Parts: sequence; C-alpha cells; structure tokens
Amino acid sequence: MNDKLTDDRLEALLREFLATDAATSESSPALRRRVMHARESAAAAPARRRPFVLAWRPPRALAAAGVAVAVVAVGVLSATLSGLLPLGRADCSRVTIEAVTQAVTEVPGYSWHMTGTELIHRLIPGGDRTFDVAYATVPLEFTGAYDAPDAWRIDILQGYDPNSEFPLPPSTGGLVRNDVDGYLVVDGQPWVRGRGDTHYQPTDPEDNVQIARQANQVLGLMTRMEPFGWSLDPAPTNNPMGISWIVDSTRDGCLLTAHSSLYDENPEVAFRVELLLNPDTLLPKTALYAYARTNSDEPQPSGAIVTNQDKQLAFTYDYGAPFAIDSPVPAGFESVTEAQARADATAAGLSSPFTSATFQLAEAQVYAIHTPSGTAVLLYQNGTLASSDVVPTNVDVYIDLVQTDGGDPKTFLVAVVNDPRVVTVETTFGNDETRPLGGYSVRPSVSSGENLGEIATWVPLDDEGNEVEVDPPRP
Amino acid sequence: MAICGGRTAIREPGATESEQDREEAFARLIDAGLDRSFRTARLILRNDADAEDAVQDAVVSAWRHWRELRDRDRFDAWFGRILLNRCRDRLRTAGRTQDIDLTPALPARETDAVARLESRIDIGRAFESLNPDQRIAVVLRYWADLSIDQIAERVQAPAGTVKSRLHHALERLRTSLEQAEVI
Repeated sequence: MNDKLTDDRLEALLREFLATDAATSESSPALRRRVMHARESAAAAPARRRPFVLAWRPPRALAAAGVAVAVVAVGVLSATLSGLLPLGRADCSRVTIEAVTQAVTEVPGYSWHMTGTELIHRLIPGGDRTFDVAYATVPLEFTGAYDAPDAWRIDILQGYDPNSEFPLPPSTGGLVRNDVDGYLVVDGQPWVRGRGDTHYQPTDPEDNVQIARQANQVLGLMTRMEPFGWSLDPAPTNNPMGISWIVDSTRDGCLLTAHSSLYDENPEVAFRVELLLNPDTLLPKTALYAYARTNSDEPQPSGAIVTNQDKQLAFTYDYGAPFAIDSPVPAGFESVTEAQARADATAAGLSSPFTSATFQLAEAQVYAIHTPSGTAVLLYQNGTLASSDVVPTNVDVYIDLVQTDGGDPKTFLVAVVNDPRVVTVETTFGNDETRPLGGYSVRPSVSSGENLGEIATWVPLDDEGNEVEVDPPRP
Repeated sequence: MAICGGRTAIREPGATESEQDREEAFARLIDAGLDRSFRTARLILRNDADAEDAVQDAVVSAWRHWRELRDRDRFDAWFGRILLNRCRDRLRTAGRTQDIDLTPALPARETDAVARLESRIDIGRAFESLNPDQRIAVVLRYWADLSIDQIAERVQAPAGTVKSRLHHALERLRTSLEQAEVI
C-alpha cells in the first residue's frame, strides 16, 4: 500500500466505474418485450390468492430486544389447486403431458425466448438458480404464463451436440414443471434432465479473468462439498468448452456432470466432476469422477457453494448467486445446538428422523426441523426457546429474513405454505413488496447485512439423527 | 402527452379514463424509462440477467399498483422505489458471492490496459462487497447524481441514514481499494 485514497480520488474512481458500466449496458428489445408481456400477463391473470394466516406470534423477548420476530404461518387452500396441478412429490408421476398442456392453455399465455439462467427465475419464482444445472443455453422456447411458471412448455429449438462427451438423448418438446419439492419434472417423470453450456472464446484479458473466476468458483464449489465426502483430484482435461454441466437421470439416480476447460495462454483452469445423485433425495450418492486443475495446481478457494439440502442440490458459479452463506457468528451469541433444537422438537411431539435448517439473525435463531410427522419451527433468543410452532408434514416451510424500513434485516419471515408455486405472501414490513415464494421446502435465504452475522446451514441427518455421510470419491 | 422539462408529463388519471388509455399510459411511462431502469438495476445487481428480472418484476408490481398512483408526474420516483426494492430483495435473497483473488494465478502483464482492467475488477469486487442498501445509495449518488434528500425519498429512509450508508460504503470501498493498491 503506497498512498491513501483521497475522497476526491475515490469519488472519481466510483463515478468513472459506474459511468463505464452503465454505458456498456442497455436494455435489449427482448427486455422491452418481456416487461410488456409480463404486464399484459399480470393484467390478464386472476386475482392473487390472499394467504391464509394461521398464526402470528411476535415473541416478546425478541421484540424487547429490538428484534421483531414474526412467525407467519401461511397456508393456502390447496383444494382449488390440486385438481389442476397435483401437489406433492408422490403425485409428480401422474402429471401427464396432456395435463400440463391443458393447464398451460387454460392460463393467459405468455411466451418468450430465453436461455440458460433466465429460465430459472421463471420456473422457480422468487428462487435462485438452483436448477441452472438442468438447463441448456441452446436456444429454447418456453411457453407458459408468467404467473404459472409451474406449467411451462419447453421446446428445444436447437439440438444437442451428439459429439459431446456426454450427449443427451434427443429431447424435443419436453414439458417441464416445477415440482412442489423444488425440482423439475420432465415429461411427467420425477427426474431432472438438462444440460448447460457456457461457451467462451477468450479474446482479451478481461474475458480470461472472468472465466477464471467462474471456473475457480466452481472449483471452490467442489471444495465446499468436502464435508459431504468429496475431494478434488487434480488431473488434466482437454475439453474445449467453457463451463458446462449436465444433469441426467438414470435408473440408479441423477447424474450431474460438470466440466470446464479454458484454452488461452492464461489462465488455464479445468475440472470435471460427476456426481450420482439419489433420485429421491437428490443428495449426492456416489462420486463417479472428479478432477480439477489450475495454474497453481491447487484448488482455489471460492465463495461458490454447493449446498446439499435434503431435496436439492445447488450448483452455483459466477452467473448464479449462492443461496447459502457461511458467515461468522456474532460475538457473544449463544447458539442453540442442533441437538437442543431436536430435543425441543421431540418435546413438541415429533419423532426422528430429522432434517433441519438453522438460521441466525443477530441474537435470534430459527430452527426448522423436518420429521415424518411434521415440521417444527423453533425460535430462540440467546439460547432460550422463545416460540415454537409445528406444522403438518404436507406443507412446506419457507424461511427468509425480511427488512424493515429499508434498513438491516430485523425480522424473520417464516412462511408455511403448501403450494409455494402460486402463493404470494404479503410481507409485514410495510413497503409495497410482495414476495412470491420459491418452490422449495425449507430453503435458507440469508441477507448480506454487514452488521449482522448470519448462518444458513443444512445438516442432512439419517434416521438416527446422525449427519449423513456419502460414499467417498472413487480412487 | 406533453413533454416538459425533460420529464414526461402525464395527465391525472380521470374517472373517465378507459382501460386502454390506462394501459397505454403505463406502457409509455415504462417504455420511456426502461433503459435507465435497466442500467440502474444493472449497476446495483452487477448482472444482466438479474437486472432484467428485477425490471420485469418491478413492472409487474407497478402495474398491479398502478391504480394507486394518483399523481403520474411522480411516476419516476414511484417506479424507482419499486425497482430499488426489487433489487434489494434480489440481492438479499441471492446472498453474497465471495469472489476470489485470482491475481496470483494471472501472469504479470505490465501494460496500461491490463492495469486499468485490474483496477476495474478491483473496484467491481469492492463494490460487490457492499450490502444492498450501500450499493443502492452509491449508485443513486454517484451515477444518478441524486442529492441526499432525493435518495432519502427514493429509498424511504431518513437523510441521516442515507449519509451513514454512503459514509460506510465509501470507507469500505476505500479500505478495499487501498488494500488492492488501487490509488
């Protein structure tokens, strides 16, 4: 560090940076069409269902501490929906092409052309790019209603590459819907199939840096899987692609393959990993193959994350944002142990096996404990159980942090919904926002408020309450 | 529709306004500000896809509340607030990507172009380390050139809060950039 950055210099740098960025970005005609179509679709859509508030319980202790904890248990009568789109994983296989087609045609139409990550937002409203892995950047046409992204028709306008190392079976006109568990169903089968490629032809240093950052994030993503039994095995590869991934289903499970290599004078980063996922849980089942190489011969750390949740696998690289964050626990925080939370859940009448999620905001902490007989939502302040609720097992729980007055996160929103695809929860923090819920079961979504420590961790547990261990990578 | 003072003047919604007129007025206003809306979202979110989605979501939200906007001359500020909320929500739910420093992996290149590029990367990285409210404040202040009071109105926060956010944002940026030796 040589000199201090003066105020004037800092402002000048900022202004130049922002002006340059703004000058190089402009809205596309496609965006213009999108927003207008979205507006038209919203105008044509029926009135949104108001959430049915089951409980509202701001714990006094937390409120007194300045942390308003809102537990909003929101349910939506599913009866009106179940006839149109069957809910629950068990019903997935009963969704036929005809049923989805019918559902699509009954909803005010909305269509556009999009690729890759754009799709994900539409398939999983309010969600992250959890299923980037399931899609291709080959031109696809998706037809459906903006407000009914669970019923899209997907047409592959350009075929897959049969010369690819991992060619997909020909698939055109498949139907995709967002299952209530948060994964995709193609052609009525509870599987995940798709492919994503990101092709780059690096021509200048910025491209190289960007690619390297992406690749390193993926590498970091893999390193983050080490707690699940994964490791990186440095090895070379020769695949003239940027970053690509494939998710395909097999009789034994879903196969996720991700690979990348970069061809330019610098830097070169390559990796490939194959994971066999349990088709029922989408947990990694077996490491088929994994290797990686970087210039430094060492996997680079990264903020990208693979989060192994009980029903989904998140795969994130630079284009996508991680949806789980590890960050320091605030000083002095008296954390509630998972064991204690599980004991409280047991006291609430729930029995193992447990899977749980924990969320922390300042001195408050939320546990959501899934069991076969229900989900316990437990709120703690400094280790003391401040509030609890138990919801039936057939509803999903969504937990988020919400802001008040545009400031730092101060409130937990715990929404319990049984159809997150269509429910909009009217949040309680007083602005004009409504919050469509993603198609997840308990999904951590944590603010990045710098003054607060947050934790969003998932601990897959077996029937005995022990942390799940997956098979080690194949030598 | 008349144009005055660089702003789009729209008549007050009257009781006799037809549905078609209502839709057309909305479409005109959205269309007129789309580029700027996208750029604002793009600067805050640092991602084209996110920015497009934020704009789209804001348009849908605005349309749903369109009848509630009585003074359409205030559309820009009104829609701007909705858009900022969308951006903030998107940042909050998306979490935080911790970029890694690739400098050791990059061969040294002693050219001005590379140095400028590296500076931009450093600034971008520092910017992405800001929290959502800080990002919004910085973009509104140093790109949109809004005053503190205007920003306060736009984000519906006290002016003192805006000042505080800017102060902390600049200090954070300064620290990051000094560490990166971007002087």
